Amino acid sequence: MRTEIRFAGVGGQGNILAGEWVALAAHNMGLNALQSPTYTAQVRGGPTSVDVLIDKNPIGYPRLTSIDFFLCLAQGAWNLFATQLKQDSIVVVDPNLVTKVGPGPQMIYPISIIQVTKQAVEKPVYTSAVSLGIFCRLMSTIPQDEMIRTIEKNAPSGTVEKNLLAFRAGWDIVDETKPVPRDELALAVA
Amino acid sequence: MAFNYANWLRQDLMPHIWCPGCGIGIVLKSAIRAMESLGWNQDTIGFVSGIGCTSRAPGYVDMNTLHTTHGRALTFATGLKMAAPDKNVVVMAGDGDSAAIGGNHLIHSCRRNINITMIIVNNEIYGMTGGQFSPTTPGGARAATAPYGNIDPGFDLCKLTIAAGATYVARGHVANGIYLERLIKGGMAHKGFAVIEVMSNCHTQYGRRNQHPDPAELIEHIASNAVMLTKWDKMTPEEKSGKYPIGVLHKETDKPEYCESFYKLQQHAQERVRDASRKIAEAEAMKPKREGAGGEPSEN
Amino acid sequence: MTHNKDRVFWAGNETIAEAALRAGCNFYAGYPITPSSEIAALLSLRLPQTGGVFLQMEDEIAAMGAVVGGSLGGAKAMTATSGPGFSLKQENIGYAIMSETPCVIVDVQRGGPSTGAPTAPAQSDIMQARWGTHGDHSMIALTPGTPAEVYRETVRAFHLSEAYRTPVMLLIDEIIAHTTESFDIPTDEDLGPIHPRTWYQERYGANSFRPFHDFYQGKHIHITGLSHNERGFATTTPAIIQRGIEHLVNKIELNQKEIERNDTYMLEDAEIALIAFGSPGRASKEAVDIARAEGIKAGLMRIITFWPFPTATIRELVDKVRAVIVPEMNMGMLRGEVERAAMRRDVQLHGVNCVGGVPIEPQQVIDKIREVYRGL
Repeated sequence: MRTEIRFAGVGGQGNILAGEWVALAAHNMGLNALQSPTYTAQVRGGPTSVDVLIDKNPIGYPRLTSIDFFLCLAQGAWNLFATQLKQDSIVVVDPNLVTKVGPGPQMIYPISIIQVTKQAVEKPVYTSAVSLGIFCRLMSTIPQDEMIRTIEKNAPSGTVEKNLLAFRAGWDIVDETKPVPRDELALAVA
Repeated sequence: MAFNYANWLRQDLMPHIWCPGCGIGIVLKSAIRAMESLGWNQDTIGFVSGIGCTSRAPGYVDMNTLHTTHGRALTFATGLKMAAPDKNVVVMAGDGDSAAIGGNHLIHSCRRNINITMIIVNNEIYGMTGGQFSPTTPGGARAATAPYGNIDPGFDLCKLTIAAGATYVARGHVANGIYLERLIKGGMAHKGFAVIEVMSNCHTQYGRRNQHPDPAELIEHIASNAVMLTKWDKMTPEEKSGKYPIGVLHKETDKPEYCESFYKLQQHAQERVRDASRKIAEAEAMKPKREGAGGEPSEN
Repeated sequence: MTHNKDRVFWAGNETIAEAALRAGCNFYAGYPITPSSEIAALLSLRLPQTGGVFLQMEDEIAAMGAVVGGSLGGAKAMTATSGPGFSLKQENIGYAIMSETPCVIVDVQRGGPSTGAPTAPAQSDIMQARWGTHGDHSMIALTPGTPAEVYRETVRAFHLSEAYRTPVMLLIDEIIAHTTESFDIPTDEDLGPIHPRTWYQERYGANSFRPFHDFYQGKHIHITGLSHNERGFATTTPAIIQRGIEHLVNKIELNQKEIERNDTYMLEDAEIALIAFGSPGRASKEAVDIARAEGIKAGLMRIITFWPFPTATIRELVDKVRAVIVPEMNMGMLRGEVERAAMRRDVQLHGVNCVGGVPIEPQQVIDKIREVYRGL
């Protein structure tokens, strides 16, 4: 089964790292994984996204055509990268950062990811690990223990513990979140 | 005893293409004598040039010779030197070749201080293409493309290369081949990027348009404007007008040479790899040894 | 990134650097340019570890000069660049052709002309690879499309450059360069043995017009960009000049069978043939699958050796099918060559051309297949 995943936001949020680690975890599981980042001219602060493809079979076309999971952390990134979405795509946005969503997905998970990160580990730099927790809880693509192994192996030394805390916070917040219909996103802002 | 050039020249390729009376032959012979007096073996010399009259020199000398593209001699020479740093690399190029189209490569070779000897034959004109003004043509001089007189300010190639970081910079002229040989030999013996600028004559393209059509007379004129550095330093700006200093204008020996720096970098990189594998091996050794395979209890 | 025996997770640029080292590359000279930068960055780390040379030169021209100089010094030398740098390198690429100096040039294609769309993907350097430098010559240019193929063709580029005494181009696009993917590294058996240059001297010596030797082998050779005789010295004799240029062309063109490599998919009974190279090959393959599911007999020929162009193979293919579609990220460079190869005025030849800096999608290709199918 081909799974299509995109993490989008602005440079510096760690979205590309999140995508890399998902792909790496899949690769380490023996699946075929593919990862390609898109940078706009400004890397830090400009919209960025990373596309991940995972498949048991060899991967054909190396770009996304029908997204299964989309996590977005900036309005600018939504405007650029909310393409190839389908009605039943699993879509997660930080409702404090993304307020206007276009047509495509019917339901959206509003999760204040930045806030969750700050609460869990005090620093927003661990946003990528929170995103990974959310991804793992919502999608069955990568088992939790495999994702944790990938974080442990690849996180810079001294940051593993906090990354795992952030991952756990992301995993847990999903259980407290209900998806809302697209047009009710504005009501979801805490 | 007269110097025997026969071992050094590809005589079967003569006659050469240079005009009768051209100074390039004097420079080439000075360079050959310098090589021999240093005891260099022809097999270990890479002699490189670009395009132009001067750059035809490699065709006539019996060693490993490389006649490259216009202005790029130093880039090829840099690759050649780095691939075989124990060999001697000498570049010979004209003023247009080295200072105009090749100007960028010249200053960056100086900056790297790579152990290459660069002999620039400066005849103040593009000779081969028909006498166009070059970056060293004097102000007011006539050229095929300066029929009203040259308005382009010229480079002082020695000042340029000193500023860019060359660690041996000398200037001589074709009227004194013995002295030139000494300057070139000094550059060849020097470890680092050495520049020897040789003031030379192009009576055919330069002299003809600028009141010096006779080669001997033009060479005399070039010699008459040369001033030994020791004297030059004591001259007033008025006295210096129209003259140029000769001698070893700059020499420094404490700046790192590029091939050596790169060799150190290689050693460092390899040491780091060895360190990393040692650490991995140590970590492996520290691990508690598993008895038997597949976690099965050992029979012992 | 991660090694799991011979299965890796690498981006195209990383793959090229690793494959070059496997091929014995011990000399790199380059100049910073995206989207090829990672090749230089990785080799700056790895080459010194293996005793090799890494040079970052003052410009693209200098980098190409240094590569030729390094090769003449006996090194297996390469460079990598992208469109604007590829333009600048053409002068000394011509020198490498004329002087028959082996080297490998990687061009990670991005949009142009000029600075174009950095660093969006394109395939518009393919003609420059063939004709970019002045004068008559032939060219070997490889256009792999999948990660394992990128590895294999990088190794083969070094082999071909030594065997045919010529610069060999490896052209990929930004999609391949920056897509990180799981794949199995080709085995030693798949790649064939890696030879020192002396091995080539015995087997392929005739491919060198000038003396085969490098510098410092006691032969006192002379290398020049001027037309030269068999000893390597400049000549103005028309018959020798003629012989020299014919040699540069024929040593490649007459050995096309050994150099040519293509990949075919479902072509046996195809009525509509897609012809593609590089990353659009993957969109095309998907489109073939969709077409087949709809009962349309489509197939794909993917060109891996772009130059010398597989003229005879394509002529044969075109004669068997009813229509040809060429999806490519340029305005029709491959399509023009297919037309020339077909030598038929009545062949139905269509293009899918994308020059906006985004990949060709399978949908675009299947739309064209359906449209062409309806018109058959």
